[in-house]
Amino acid sequence: MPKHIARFLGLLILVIVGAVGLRYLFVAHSYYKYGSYRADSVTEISALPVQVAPSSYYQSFYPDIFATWTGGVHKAVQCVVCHGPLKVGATPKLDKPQNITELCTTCHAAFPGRPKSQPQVVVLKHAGRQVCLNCHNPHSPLLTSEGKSIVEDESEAAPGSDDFNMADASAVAAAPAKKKAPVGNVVAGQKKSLLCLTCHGLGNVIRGNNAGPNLGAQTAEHIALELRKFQSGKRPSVVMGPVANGLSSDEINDLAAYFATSATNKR
Amino acid sequence: MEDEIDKDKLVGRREILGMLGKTGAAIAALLGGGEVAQAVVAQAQASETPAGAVTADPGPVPGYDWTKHKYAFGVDATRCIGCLRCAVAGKLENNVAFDPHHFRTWVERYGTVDGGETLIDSQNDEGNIKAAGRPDNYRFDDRYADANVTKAFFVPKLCNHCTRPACVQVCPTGATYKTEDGAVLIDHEYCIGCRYCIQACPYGARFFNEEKQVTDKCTWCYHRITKGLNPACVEVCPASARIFGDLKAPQSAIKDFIRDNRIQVLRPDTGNGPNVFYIGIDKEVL
Repeated sequence: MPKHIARFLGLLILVIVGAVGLRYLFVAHSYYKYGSYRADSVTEISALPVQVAPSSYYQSFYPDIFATWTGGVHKAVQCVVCHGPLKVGATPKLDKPQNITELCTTCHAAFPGRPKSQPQVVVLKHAGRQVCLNCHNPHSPLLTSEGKSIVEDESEAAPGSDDFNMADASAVAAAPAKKKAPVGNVVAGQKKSLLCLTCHGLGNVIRGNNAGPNLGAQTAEHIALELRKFQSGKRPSVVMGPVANGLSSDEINDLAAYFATSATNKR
Repeated sequence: MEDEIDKDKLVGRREILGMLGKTGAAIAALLGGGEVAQAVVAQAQASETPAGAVTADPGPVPGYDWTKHKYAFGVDATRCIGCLRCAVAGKLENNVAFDPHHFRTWVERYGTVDGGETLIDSQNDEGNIKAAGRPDNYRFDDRYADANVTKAFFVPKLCNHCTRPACVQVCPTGATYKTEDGAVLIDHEYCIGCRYCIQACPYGARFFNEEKQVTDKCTWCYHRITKGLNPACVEVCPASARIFGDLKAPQSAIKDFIRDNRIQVLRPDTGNGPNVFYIGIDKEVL
């Protein structure tokens, strides 16, 4: 072999070995494993710690409050929303929110753009300068902090319209104080509920046409009470009046039981 | 009787194909004797599996098979109440700076006054910063209190985790990529902070982390979804305006959402193939 060819081949081999060696040194070994990126970075990202805990984490630490919360209309609002990020420990101490009115109006201040189904208030008209917690239990806002209804007597509530109305909604809580929760047959209620679902949906399990409020996070007491109010004409409604008139008392209890047990507002 | 055939003695389709491949490689090795052919033989031997067994690589996440998932996100703008808890949760979960200009997910408000032009504001708008008061708090001000609002709605936004992501295409270092299960992620070790991807993204979903000098964006909380949890913003949304799920699961919220609604995506004309599906938004929403 001529000398210049041998030299050239030697040099070529040296360059190839050098290139392979440098690549080995400087390119992460997992680089082309799944594509032109470092596969290890996926492992690293997936190993990051979870900060926002599911609310069920706090159930064993705050059983009473947890029960109030799951039984009320605020059960779609997770602990972290008001109490801040995950606290881990023997008994994780959740922060008490500082500015209560600011916190509540984050979701409940009335302004254009918020869907009709969201309860909204103009604070000055609704409560003046009072703090929300003077009347409302934050974990179940239709109750007071003592667990009583925020309106003493059902008859005090103004007759509502089909739109959401705070006074109307608050009247609901009078029911559990006066009589026991309606006991109904869930299976029978489910059969009967097909008509309701068209307009109301069922949380996010079944989606209604938004004509009526979402029944997903509703209690049995509320549904039974409101249906009876439609029946008696205490709450006048062109749509719900005839519907409620066609229901027997047992059927109302069945429907209430069904919506309370199977309904969920979480997807 | 067909039932009496000894199934162990049958040769499966995969085995025949494997044998053909190995024979071809062996012939090539005999003829050329080159490294390539040997490599092919070695690969064929390595991938030799019992007939019928599927040996797809489960991916780089321990205890999680990324070939079995394909995620998508749904946004129901008719339910959004504009409380911005999603924006806060996204920051908490992913250590994003608490200021009004860096967001993994955010909400925009579209308002039309007297049927005129549609005005858009988000939490980085001056009025809204003033209404929030603190850097760790975000809220919309009541700017339309005295106006005759003909239409107003909120639109939550986040990274669309596109099927053909422009940001991945422009990344010069391979720091951003699309995973098998559908998420677009950023490797902060390989990111050189050139910000090409920020410019390439048609949705403005990426922001620059000045502290670490890298780009950052929503990952659908990849560390949560690979553990079976929902992304933080979905977890906290009190109005259930955000839906997350697995398209490969037999049943999931997102499959129902896509099936039951007339869904839209943002800017389909860019060809990125976004995977965040919207309902209840107007044509003004980009």
